[in-house]
Amino acid sequence: MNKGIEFIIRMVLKEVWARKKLAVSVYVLVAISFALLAAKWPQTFTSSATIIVDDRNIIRPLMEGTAQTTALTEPLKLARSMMSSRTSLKEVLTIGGWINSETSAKEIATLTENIRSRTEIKNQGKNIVKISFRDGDPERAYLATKSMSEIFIRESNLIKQRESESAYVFINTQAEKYRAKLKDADLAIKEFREKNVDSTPGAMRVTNERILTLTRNIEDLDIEILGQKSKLAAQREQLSGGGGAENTASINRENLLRVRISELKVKLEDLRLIYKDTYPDIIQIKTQIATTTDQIKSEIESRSAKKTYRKEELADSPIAQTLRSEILRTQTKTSTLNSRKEQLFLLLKKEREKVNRINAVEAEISELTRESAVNTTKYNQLIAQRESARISKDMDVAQQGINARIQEAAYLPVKSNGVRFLHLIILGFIVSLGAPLVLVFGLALIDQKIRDPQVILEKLQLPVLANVYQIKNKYEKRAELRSQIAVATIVALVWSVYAFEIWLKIQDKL
Amino acid sequence: MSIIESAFLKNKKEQSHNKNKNTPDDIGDIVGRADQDGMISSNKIVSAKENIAKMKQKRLYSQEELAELGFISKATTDTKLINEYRNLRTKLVEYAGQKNFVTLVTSVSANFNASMVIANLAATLALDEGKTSLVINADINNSEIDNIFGIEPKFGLVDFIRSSDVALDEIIYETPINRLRYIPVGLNIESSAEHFSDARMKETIASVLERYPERYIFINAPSISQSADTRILLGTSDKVILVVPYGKATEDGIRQAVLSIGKEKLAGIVLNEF
Repeated sequence: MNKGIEFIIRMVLKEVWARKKLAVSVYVLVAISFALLAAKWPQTFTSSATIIVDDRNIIRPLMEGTAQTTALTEPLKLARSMMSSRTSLKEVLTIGGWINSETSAKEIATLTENIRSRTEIKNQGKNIVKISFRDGDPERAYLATKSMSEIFIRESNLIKQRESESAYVFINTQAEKYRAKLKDADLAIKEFREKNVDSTPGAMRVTNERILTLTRNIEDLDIEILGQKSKLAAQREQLSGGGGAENTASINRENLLRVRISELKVKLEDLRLIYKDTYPDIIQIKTQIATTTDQIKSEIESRSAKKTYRKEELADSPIAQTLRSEILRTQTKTSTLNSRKEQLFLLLKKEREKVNRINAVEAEISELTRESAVNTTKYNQLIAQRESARISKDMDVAQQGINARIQEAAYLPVKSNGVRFLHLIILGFIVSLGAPLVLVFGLALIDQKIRDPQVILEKLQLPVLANVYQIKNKYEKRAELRSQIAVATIVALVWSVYAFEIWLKIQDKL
Repeated sequence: MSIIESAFLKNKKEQSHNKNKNTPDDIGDIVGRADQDGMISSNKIVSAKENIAKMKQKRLYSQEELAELGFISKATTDTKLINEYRNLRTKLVEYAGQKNFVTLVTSVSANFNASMVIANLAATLALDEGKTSLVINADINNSEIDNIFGIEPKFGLVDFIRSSDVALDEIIYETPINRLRYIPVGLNIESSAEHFSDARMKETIASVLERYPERYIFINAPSISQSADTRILLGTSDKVILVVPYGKATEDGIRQAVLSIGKEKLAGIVLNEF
């Protein structure tokens, strides 16, 4: 590899020497071209300003829920729109000194386009916008950048103000609209209530209570009537003798008979202890028992079978008379109760009708009220929002909610950027030396002639006897020296041109 | 001269015949030089040396002149280059064995002539007092060698081949370098003709070969890619040296040249200016 490089260097030098006229011409041409280029190359200076657009300032958390700080959602977009605005750019042009009051519109248009192409706006992170501007004059680059950043801040604040102002106006209009609506709804309710007197608030409750009382009264009456009726039936029964008073004698008799029987039975048992059944006393007693039993039987029969025959027994008794007057009284009371009940029923019906009426009215009213309630809520909300908007607006007017500010102000560029004089000089120095070498090397590669003995030895496999060369005599040596001096002189001349140019540059005459 | 080379030469001389003694000699000034190696001791070699030592020599290049022309000389300080030529010489001597030896030197590229390579190669061989070398210029478009040797030829190889009136002696020129002779290509040449297909070319080479023992003949041929002459000349030579100049030959060019020379005839490649 080293050998290869060595060979290439040797070859290139040899070739350069063999084609020294071409090499030197190329060298001079390239070197002078670069020198001219460096002298004529326009210098550019770039100034830039960084603007931070922060949507979280101190006001925001303080005013949380009350006022909204207007956020510049897309600062980059805003900056771009600023750059497309003619008025903004014209301002920049005036500040930069490109135009005065006499400049024609056409010229201004050209300059505007020119400025636009030299301005670069880009996002540096989320909320940072960088505006850079390049110009041949550092002073002008600085002024233009400065004015651009200021215009950006001003414009963004204006936009914020306009935004909050229009928000306030909108909310205000909405609030007024709702207020009118609310007023209408309340009026409608009032009118309706006037038309339906029954349906005063609470009417429904009163009516319901009344219905309840009436129903309860009717129920009480029913019970009383029933009581009177049964009383009447009982009195009538009593009057017709079914009441049990006529049987008392018969029952008494029966009881007596039963006592007699039990006495007889005791006597019989006593006798049986002493006597046989055939004993006449016993037989007698037995007969007596049987007879008594029969008597009981007949008593019971007569009591149940012969009911009516003793009715007349009470007909004219004082009990009957009392009973009769009692019955009359009971009948009178019953009829009184019945008529009262009818009266109550009528009342109940009336009340029920009233309930229905009230229900209808209530439905209508609740409809109206609901509308009103919705409007009220909305209206209250809007009033609160309007107040927030007012504060936001005031805040923007007072520039308290500012969220665009210059983070890094425009500066006066000292060093030109892009391809600079020194770059071109150095480049010219290197390229002018390299170009002839590359050229001759390229030519050597292209012509395919053999310059490497290895090709003959290795590729063609031919024996190489010797490698000879011409010894230079003194004339040839002198001629060569002359060529060397000539080449060196040319190179030195070119270098002195470079040196002169650098000197001019340092003296600031270029 | 390396020890190995000397030993090799010694071995070779001991096996050689006596016929070298009988070859006709040029009689001329004696410009003797001390034997630097002092390792050649055989009688036969001494006799060959004597023959060679009797070669004519009117004028010699000074060290300055040699350097100016780009020759390898005793004053040359570039040991790397000297070694390259020495190695080349050793290899050729190796190929030659005991015979006199004909080497064709041709360039692979038409836009490069190997005049200086051939001149230096011949001069290097002639450094050895026991050896002579002869350069035959067979490239009709190349008069550079005439200038290198400082010769204004009246006749040349083509004249000799075409006309029997010209004697061999008339075309062999003495050069300002010891033990180095030169046959130029000639003056009146029709460039389109093939000059060397004649049998007289072979005769010429053969007679030249026999003039001295230990004679090395180098034929400067035009680029093999260019001239049909070179292919004809191949028949008259023992080995071929292909000169590859730096940055002027392609791989394909070399391949084709080697193919027309033939692998067995190719001594090897000499790289120039690599």
